Amino acid sequence: MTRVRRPGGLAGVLWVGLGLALATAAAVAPVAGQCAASSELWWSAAPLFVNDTDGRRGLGGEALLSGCRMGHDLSTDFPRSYYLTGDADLMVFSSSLTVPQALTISGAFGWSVSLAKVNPVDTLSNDPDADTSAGARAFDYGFLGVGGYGRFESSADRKERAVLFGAEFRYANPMWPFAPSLVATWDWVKPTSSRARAASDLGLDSYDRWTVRGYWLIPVRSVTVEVDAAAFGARGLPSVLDAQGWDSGEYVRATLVWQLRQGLSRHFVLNGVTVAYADGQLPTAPANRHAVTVGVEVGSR
Amino acid sequence: MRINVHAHVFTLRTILSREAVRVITQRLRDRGVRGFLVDAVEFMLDDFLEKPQHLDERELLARLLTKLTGIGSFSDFLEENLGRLPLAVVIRGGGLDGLPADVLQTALDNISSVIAEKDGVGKSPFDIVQALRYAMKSTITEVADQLLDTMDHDDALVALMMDIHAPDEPERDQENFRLQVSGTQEAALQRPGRVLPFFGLHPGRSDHFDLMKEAVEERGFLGVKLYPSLGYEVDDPALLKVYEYCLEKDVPVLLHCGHGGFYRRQEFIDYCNPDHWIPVLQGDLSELRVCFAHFGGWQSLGRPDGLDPGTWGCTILDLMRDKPNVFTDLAYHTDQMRDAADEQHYFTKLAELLRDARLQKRILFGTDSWLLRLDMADVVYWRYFQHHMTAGDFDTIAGRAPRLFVGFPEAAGQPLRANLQRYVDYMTAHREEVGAEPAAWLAEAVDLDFVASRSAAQWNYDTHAVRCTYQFAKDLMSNAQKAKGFKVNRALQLRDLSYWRPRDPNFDGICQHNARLLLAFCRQIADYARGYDEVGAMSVCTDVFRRGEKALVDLAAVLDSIFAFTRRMS
Repeated sequence: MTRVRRPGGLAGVLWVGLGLALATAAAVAPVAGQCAASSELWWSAAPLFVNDTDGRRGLGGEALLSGCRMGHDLSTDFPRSYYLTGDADLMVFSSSLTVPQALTISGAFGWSVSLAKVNPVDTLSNDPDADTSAGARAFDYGFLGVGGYGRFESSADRKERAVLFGAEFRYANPMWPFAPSLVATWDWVKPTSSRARAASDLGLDSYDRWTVRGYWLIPVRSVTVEVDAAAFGARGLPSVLDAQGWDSGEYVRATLVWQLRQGLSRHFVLNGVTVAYADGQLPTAPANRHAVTVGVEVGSR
Repeated sequence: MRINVHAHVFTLRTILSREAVRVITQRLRDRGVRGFLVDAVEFMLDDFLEKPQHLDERELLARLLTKLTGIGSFSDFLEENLGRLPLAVVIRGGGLDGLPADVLQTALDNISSVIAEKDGVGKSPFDIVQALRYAMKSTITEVADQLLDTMDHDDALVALMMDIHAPDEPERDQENFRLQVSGTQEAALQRPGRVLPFFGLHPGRSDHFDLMKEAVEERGFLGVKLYPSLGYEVDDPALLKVYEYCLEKDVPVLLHCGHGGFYRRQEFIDYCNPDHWIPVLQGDLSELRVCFAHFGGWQSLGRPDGLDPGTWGCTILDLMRDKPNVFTDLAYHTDQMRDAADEQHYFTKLAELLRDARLQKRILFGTDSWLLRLDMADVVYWRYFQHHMTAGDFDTIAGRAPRLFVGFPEAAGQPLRANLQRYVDYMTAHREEVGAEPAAWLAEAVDLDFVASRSAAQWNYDTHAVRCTYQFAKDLMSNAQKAKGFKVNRALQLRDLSYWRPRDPNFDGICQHNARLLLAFCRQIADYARGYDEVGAMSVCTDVFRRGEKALVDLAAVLDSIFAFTRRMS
């Protein structure tokens, strides 16, 4: 499989491969986009010399086109942002080659709002250490984000094609340690052409998949407890994939982190020690797994 | 008490203008710095001019290397010199923003070693980065502290402002100059008796006289700095009025007087020629206290013909002999270090001049820091002169003579000169709002208690940027952090606040949320400035929260560069 980082717009990672219409949905997770400018258009074109997966060689070309528009309304009540992105990655070859990535056209939009209101600056106390003074926030219930995306994918030989539409919902409030940080996604995938499915005597049935992920970070003195839990389900998958366990699953990971922040040398610092227990099934694997890990986190100063 | 009579403590932001970018890069080219390095610096300065940012060391290194990698001739250099090293992969690989400081430093050190080996010291990225580290400090006080930290507790430096004014200067550049004036004044209040400010004057600035008068009479400045090669002649009628004022108020003038340094046009270098002062220093103005900095260049002492008739050094020497208040200084004399014969001549001649009773109290020690850092650290320059001179001679040039120049009396019991007395009066009036204990001489002169109550520079709760930053961050602090109080929390890093949870799948969204609230909070009282708009401000601010490396004082500096805040809360 090939991993492609989008030049702007979609900050997530897109996975494509031979089974591109089967396993992509849950892995696409666009987050609120970031543009360097309010309106940005970016493109590139490059000739390619390809050595394909079967060892055949050939020439080709790739063109990338990416557009991004971002805006913010930074009013004192419920400030919000939106983004709109479009990307195209077009690849052509002089001969029929087996390469993992060929053509994608995608678009995404999203909107996030801070469920918060800031106080007027002139109401701030003149004493920075006054306990009773109003802070910057009149209230802050975190942020809410929603987004949608669509994509068309095709293999290089055009034998595998699919369209995908998805939506996401996000919520987090760093002011409330016990409140979960939530991400929910839903994707609908429709294969439009598939030689692989035909060979297995499968139809071009659409299917949909949802995921819900919750994350908690609870500080208890010098220890923090992180809990990361996820569940996913799929409907309409070919029965062969259902049988393999792609239809649903749950996953949980709990981590204890001892914050140390001790210097090891001039350049390195020991951030902490972690002990984690993970159990369950991720959307990207059909089987249950569990593990206990102990880690030492070292960072640069 | 020793005094470095020639130091620059301005930050890059306070001198930067289109003209400044041009003269700074011109100076680097004149020094023989490689073209790709000058280009990279120029690109960096252009970015900084458009959107000034506070850069920590890692960001500074990453920015310079990123700029370098975009220059074709640098790729050729890498291929030629470092192509076989894995290092080249690091430099070429992109994503430099994410690399830790030590990796970037190693990359830079390797490039610097190759360049230094071929081109000599003072021309490598290492030296340039070291100079930029001073220049890109958030405040003038921090720059001054870097220099003062290498000096004895009661030593002082003369902080020379610089006005790189251009005729078509935009409002942005005028604002930067005002920041330089207020920042230099702040540094003097932060370090009483140790930072002695000189006002940088350019007669092309329409209100130069009023600004100078205000600086001298109301802001504690005790001298004036001129830089004629930046585009003005010293017998300009506007300057004659300045000299008359300086004479009346007993204010010393220090001017750039060397063939190197900054210049607007090549032909303007001659504006620094001391010959032009011969007709000026006549009549009443013959009493003017004036220092011809750099002694006309290191050659005056380092070369056998350096003081021959017609040389700048000879003219300066004649003026020192003829006029009662003419001085010179030895700032940025480094070229004699490269040749033993030049070096021997330099110190032999200097010792000889110091035996002359009329001259011995007129030759002053100065370093030209932080610009000197393009070649060497300040402390190396001090030690170099101490090593090559007798203790008595060094004490004369670094102690007795500079004290006379800045206004101390020649003998104990005599009054201070008027300019220094005004400085003392200014400090006396502000003695309860200084930033540190005063230098011993000032404490003795005032004989009243000073109170070091002043908030650290750039961390003053009376400024909008700091107030917004602190009140915003306070909501995200633990009780233990809040209990440490405002002063201590200046250095609190963003990653120590409760929002910092980089493994949260919504971490990017949380950082955007923070940026939105903080900007909305600030937006109530200030417009965007310096090319920023909502998208640009959100992009910078979100990135600062995402990285989490900056301290609260740095976040305040970021806001200060994004918004056109009025300086103080009303």
